[in-house]
Amino acid sequence: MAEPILEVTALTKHFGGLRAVHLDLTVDVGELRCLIGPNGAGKSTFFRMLTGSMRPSAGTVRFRGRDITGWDAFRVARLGMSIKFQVASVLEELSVRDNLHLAAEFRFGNREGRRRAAEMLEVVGLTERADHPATWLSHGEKQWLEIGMASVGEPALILLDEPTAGMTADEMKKTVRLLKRLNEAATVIVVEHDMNFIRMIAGRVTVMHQGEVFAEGSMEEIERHEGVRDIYLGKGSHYVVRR
Amino acid sequence: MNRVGSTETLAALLLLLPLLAVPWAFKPYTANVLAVYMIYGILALSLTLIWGYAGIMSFGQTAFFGIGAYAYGAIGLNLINRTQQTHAALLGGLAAATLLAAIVGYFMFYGRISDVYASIITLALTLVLFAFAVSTGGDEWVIGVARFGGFNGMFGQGESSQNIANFQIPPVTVWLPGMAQPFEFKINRESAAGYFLVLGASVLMYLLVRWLLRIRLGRVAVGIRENEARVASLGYDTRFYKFALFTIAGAIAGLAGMLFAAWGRFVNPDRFGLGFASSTVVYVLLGGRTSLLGGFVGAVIIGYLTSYLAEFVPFATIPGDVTPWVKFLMETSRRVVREAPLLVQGAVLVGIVLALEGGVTPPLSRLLTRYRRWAWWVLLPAVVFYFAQRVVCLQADVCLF
Amino acid sequence: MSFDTTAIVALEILNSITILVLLALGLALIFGMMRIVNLAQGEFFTAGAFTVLTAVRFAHLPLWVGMLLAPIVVAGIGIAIERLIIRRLYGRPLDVMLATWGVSILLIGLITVIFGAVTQGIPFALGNFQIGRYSYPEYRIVMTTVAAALMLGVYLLFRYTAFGRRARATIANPEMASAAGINTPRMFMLTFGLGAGLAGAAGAIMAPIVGVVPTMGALYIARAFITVVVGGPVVLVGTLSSASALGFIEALISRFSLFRIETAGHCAPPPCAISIGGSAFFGQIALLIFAILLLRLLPQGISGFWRERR
Repeated sequence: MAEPILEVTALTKHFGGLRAVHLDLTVDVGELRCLIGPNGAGKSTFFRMLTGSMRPSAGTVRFRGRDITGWDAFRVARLGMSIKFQVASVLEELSVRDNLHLAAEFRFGNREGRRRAAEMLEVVGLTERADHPATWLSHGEKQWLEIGMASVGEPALILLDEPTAGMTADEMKKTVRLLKRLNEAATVIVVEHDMNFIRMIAGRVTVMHQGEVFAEGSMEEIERHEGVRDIYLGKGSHYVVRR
Repeated sequence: MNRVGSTETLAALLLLLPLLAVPWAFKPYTANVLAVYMIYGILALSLTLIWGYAGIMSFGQTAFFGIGAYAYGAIGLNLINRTQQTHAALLGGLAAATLLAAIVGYFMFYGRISDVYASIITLALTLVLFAFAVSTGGDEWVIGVARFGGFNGMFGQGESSQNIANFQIPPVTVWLPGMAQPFEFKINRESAAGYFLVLGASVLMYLLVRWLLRIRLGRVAVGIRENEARVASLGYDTRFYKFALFTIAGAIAGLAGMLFAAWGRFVNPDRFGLGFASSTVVYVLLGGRTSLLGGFVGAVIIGYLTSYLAEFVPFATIPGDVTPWVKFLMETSRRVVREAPLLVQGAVLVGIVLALEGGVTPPLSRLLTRYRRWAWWVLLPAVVFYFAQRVVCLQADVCLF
Repeated sequence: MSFDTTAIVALEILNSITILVLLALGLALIFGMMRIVNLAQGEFFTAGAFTVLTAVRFAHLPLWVGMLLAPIVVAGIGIAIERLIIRRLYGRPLDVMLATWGVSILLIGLITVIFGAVTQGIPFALGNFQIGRYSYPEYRIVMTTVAAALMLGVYLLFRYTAFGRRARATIANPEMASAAGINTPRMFMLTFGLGAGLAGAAGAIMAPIVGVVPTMGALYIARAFITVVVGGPVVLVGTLSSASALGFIEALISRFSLFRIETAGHCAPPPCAISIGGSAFFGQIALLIFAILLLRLLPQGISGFWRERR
């Protein structure tokens, strides 16, 4: 069995006196993993620690066999991990094409980067908007642009933090197709709230609660899990995790 | 050529053609004054680069300006009598400013200091240099024959301690192999070489910055301004890009400083002063933070107007036999006009921040774009015609009106 | 070192710390707590000093009356600025910086128009006392006492009064505070006014020993910001610890020359030499360098670091 692409061991984050995150997680190469959990479960904090935006208080992260704990964001990116942030983070004043070009240029240089950016424009379906400033895009289109930026450099692992936030049902279907296509070449971890979306993707699911892994399994197993339903309905106080 | 591009070209032509004609269309005095405001324009350009495009508000551009000026002065004063040229001074001034910018930039950006604190550090740098320059009035502050002179400005000391032997900072003087004599770039009745030197430098710097913004360095810097975290997560080491742009902007400011010292044959601590730093910010804000030409235009126009205002002093002498109240009013109005540059600057700053976000460039640019045809076919020829006839009138005495 | 030299050096260190505390206290509220980069803070000092000048020179009031008036007057100016300008710029830190810079320039211009650009002095009645070979101004001891009193006052205000509790709540979480019924715009205004008033008091206290001139604020603003930034987010602990560390270094370098460089100038007696250290200027450079080093080690400031450790 090949080495897992991501191995998180006892990764912890304290904010003052509060322990916001403390978990172990393993993701295999080629997976399409979903990370779910109620608001405040620590999903975004976890992502930020993975990509180097936030320094963990304790624990380790191993990515592609290397210990990347505490690495700067740009070094993690160079190793092959990319992220789409929870809040749409595109370069507003630049055109859609320039956004993708900048993303592609790092890996592939100016000319090749331009070609790949044009390709990615088609993949995410934004060819008509290519020369518009990114700030003119609708919310859904910005998400796709950012997903495109996160993928054009051919990363090994793509983290997507709530890619369908604010999308319509049609846009969501398009995003599902996009994700499945990305998953052909890369491992993907998706943080999501929308159960329909996760059902459509149908990968392995990890449930987080109060900063820890609460349950893990296939979508069917998770849906049948009573505790999961409870924590979403707010009865989660029953499941205060032992510190 | 896309719309915006042609507007910028149009604006550049509208600026450049008149500027080219000035030495022949007006008295040497005008060329002299315009030269210094173009120098301030280059300084404003450096601020536009680091602030409008990289997103880092640097109060320190005038610090690098001053360092360039003082370094040029110190080296030039020491070498001019021996070598008859200022090549080393030019190199030295540029090197000094670039080195300082690199050191400060390294400290700030590789030290992970946030942008707000970086601005404060650049402010502190300017203040420290000001305090230093002011305290150098004493006899002991010399480098070779170049004496700092505190507020009196830098000058060269002669052999004896008599003032007669003192001499000024030299103008830019080149003596290349093949030239019979060294050539001085001055601005006076015989020669406008100094003016064209400054104009040429301005054009060069403008083109340089435009080129920078087209290559990867510039584009990444703009991305960093928009969203640094995003750009970092694409793999770019943002520390390096900020550092590189800061150093380049510092070098450009240093170049402007050298030209200033060579133009005025003089440099004093005011170049490190807060007043100078703030005028630069006002020029850039007024012209529009992201407009390369805007900062330049702001410097030339506002600076020129301000110097014009300064000539106009009401109630130069107050008669002794007026009532105290009237005397107070006259004295106050005199002070108001004297402080007018300050008051106007402050009001403009506050006004622009509260009201005119992008400066005057967006509305002007929109006007220019909308009336493009008129501008190309009517305005530009009219400007060319006006200046052409002024030149002919002044040089050949053939005047139309 | 002999006893009297040690005593004088100790007093100079104390004085250095005192001045930094005075400079930083108001700004610690405005920048440290409210996160407003107020570049007009220097002019608040200036306004305080000029209030005292006006009171003593033109209205012929006693010195202490002028000193009481100064914080009130400057607090008023601060409140006006907050209402007219800063209020519209919350959440836009860069624009606040620029606008307050504009205000700073305007204020300098206005003060120059009213008072003229000459440096003026304020007469006061205290003299020096002797320590061995040296004499030291009594007034500086008074300054230290007042600075301590101000710090105590701020502490008591924020810890034990309703206003203090509400102000802390507003700044920690404006939305929650507003939902709890606190008039948050008024709280911001009053806190800013308080910060301005403290700066005015500082300017007033320092006025008798420095030259009162419209541009005096520029000399203080950099040190004020540096002290607050190094101090970190906790107002009193941060200011005190930062002022102590930086004031210590500044005083020492100001007094003791590190080494001398000979230069070729016309001096009598020759040779000319520049002394590195031993002057106020070098003290300030040392302060700046030390502050940058501290920030490199403790990016959150001294109190930020101390808070995380707990």
